[in-house]
Amino acid sequence: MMLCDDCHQNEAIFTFVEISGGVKRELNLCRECAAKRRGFGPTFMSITDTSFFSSLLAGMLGISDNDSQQDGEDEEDLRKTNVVCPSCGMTYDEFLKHGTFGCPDCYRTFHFLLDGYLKKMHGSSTHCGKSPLYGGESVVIPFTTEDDQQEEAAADDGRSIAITVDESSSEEELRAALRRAVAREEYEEAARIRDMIRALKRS
Amino acid sequence: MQKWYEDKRCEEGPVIGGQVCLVRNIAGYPFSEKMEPDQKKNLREEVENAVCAEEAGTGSQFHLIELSDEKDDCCNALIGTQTVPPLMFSRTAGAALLVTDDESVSILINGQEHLCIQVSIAGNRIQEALAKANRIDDLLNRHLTYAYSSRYGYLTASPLYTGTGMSASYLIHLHYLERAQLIAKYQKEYSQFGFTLHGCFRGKNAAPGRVYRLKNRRTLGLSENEVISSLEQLASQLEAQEEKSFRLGGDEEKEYEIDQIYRAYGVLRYARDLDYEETLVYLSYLRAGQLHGILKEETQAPVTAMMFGIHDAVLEKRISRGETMKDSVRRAQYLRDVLPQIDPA
Ligand SMILES: [Zn+2]
Ligand SMILES: [Zn+2]
Repeated sequence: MMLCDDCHQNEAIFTFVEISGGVKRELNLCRECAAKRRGFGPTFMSITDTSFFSSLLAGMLGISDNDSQQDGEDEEDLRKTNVVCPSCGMTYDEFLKHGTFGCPDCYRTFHFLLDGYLKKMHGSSTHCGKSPLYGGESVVIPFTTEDDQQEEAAADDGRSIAITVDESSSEEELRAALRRAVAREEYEEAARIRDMIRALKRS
Repeated sequence: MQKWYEDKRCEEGPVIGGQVCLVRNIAGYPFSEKMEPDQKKNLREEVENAVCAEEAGTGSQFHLIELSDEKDDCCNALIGTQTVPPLMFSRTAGAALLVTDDESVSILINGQEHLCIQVSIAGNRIQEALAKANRIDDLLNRHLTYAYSSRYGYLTASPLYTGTGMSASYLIHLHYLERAQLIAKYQKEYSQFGFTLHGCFRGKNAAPGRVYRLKNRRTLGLSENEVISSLEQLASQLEAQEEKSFRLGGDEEKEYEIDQIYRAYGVLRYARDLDYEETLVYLSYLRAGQLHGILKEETQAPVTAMMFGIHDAVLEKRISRGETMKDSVRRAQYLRDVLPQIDPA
């Protein structure tokens, strides 16, 4: 068991990557300490709190003023990020390792990471087809933003989605767009831009 | 009782039959992997009660097979006759199978997913299979709350089934398409539509008996009906290509083919020791011969039933256990029993 870096008592279940002054530091925290650091009381910190995840994701994507130090380690950070399903205790790591979820709530817990994963697998991340006649929706999973839905709808129509940056954009433009995307909680767009930044650096 | 794969409609074209499988999980339980024995027991009871209450509506009569304490042979036989999808199978405590006598409907409880409703049908009638699976699904749903989100659809332990939870497939005999070495081409082409084309029976060769399963891989972003109509389209394309491949080739090749078919019949009829894959090769010739009117005997051999029946475990189940006999000898004996006699022409 890995202990929390702050209280040295509880099990660390979150891994943050903190970047300050160009120095990258890894921080392993328990639920309570993670909440404190992020300025939420423990009771407020829902596991699916998107504003919490937006900062978590910002950490994962390495968005900070010195983000150029962050080359290529994003994927590793993503892997280390231990989000835990409150219903069954499954971590995203475990999910990636076994390839199966622990319970229906895992979908809600990991949804901000799942769209890309499912899209790769099925070519889409939105259900289309039968719904139960009785019982209705037993697990409510928020659509990330309204924009996302519109994007999805636009993509479904076969029209190209509105993109503000592309491969020809400068690194500065891309960085600005990345920050905007994260602020708007458009994680897929953020990941797309991140990949473009990486490609730009490689070339 | 006649099994679905003994139906004459299995022998009418390249398509042998179709299968639709709906994966469902029940809200309020973790997925199988994380379940306690008690939870499995409760879930099992809930499902059994639901099936009991709705049995009349399903138009089927089920009997229960306790998978955890069944013998290996029985479980392997269920896979051999395609009654349970191998990837869904589990033999942990609480795993059970409700199955009809003709094996056309099976409900797997506590497998890799909570529920797997499978409907099998002879011939080219996948829509009927879907309709029946949907009806059973709806009836059980009156008693069971499914894990479902409007965003991701039916929630399943494996993300491979997330969405509709539906796998629909056709079993297709592609004797001449394989001879023409065209399978790889279609595998590649169809993967772009989200379909896989793989050997149906397991063995050293990619597709023993040249029987393939054409199956959807995508369960998100496409409705059940869209998947089914793509499946129908691709299957009918394969059937047309199979027919075309048969017509190709000159007279010399035709004569050679006819010879091969009669040889296959001879071996199946008179051999005393037959290996599983070897037998499937001969059965493939026999089926092709019947389908294209090369073998013209009055009584057609139920080749599909034989293809299923020659599986080690299925043989074991069929032929009395008292006799100790090599599987390959047992297989030859079974074939002599079921193969119709043809007059030497
Ligand atoms: Zn702590
Ligand atoms: Zn979970």
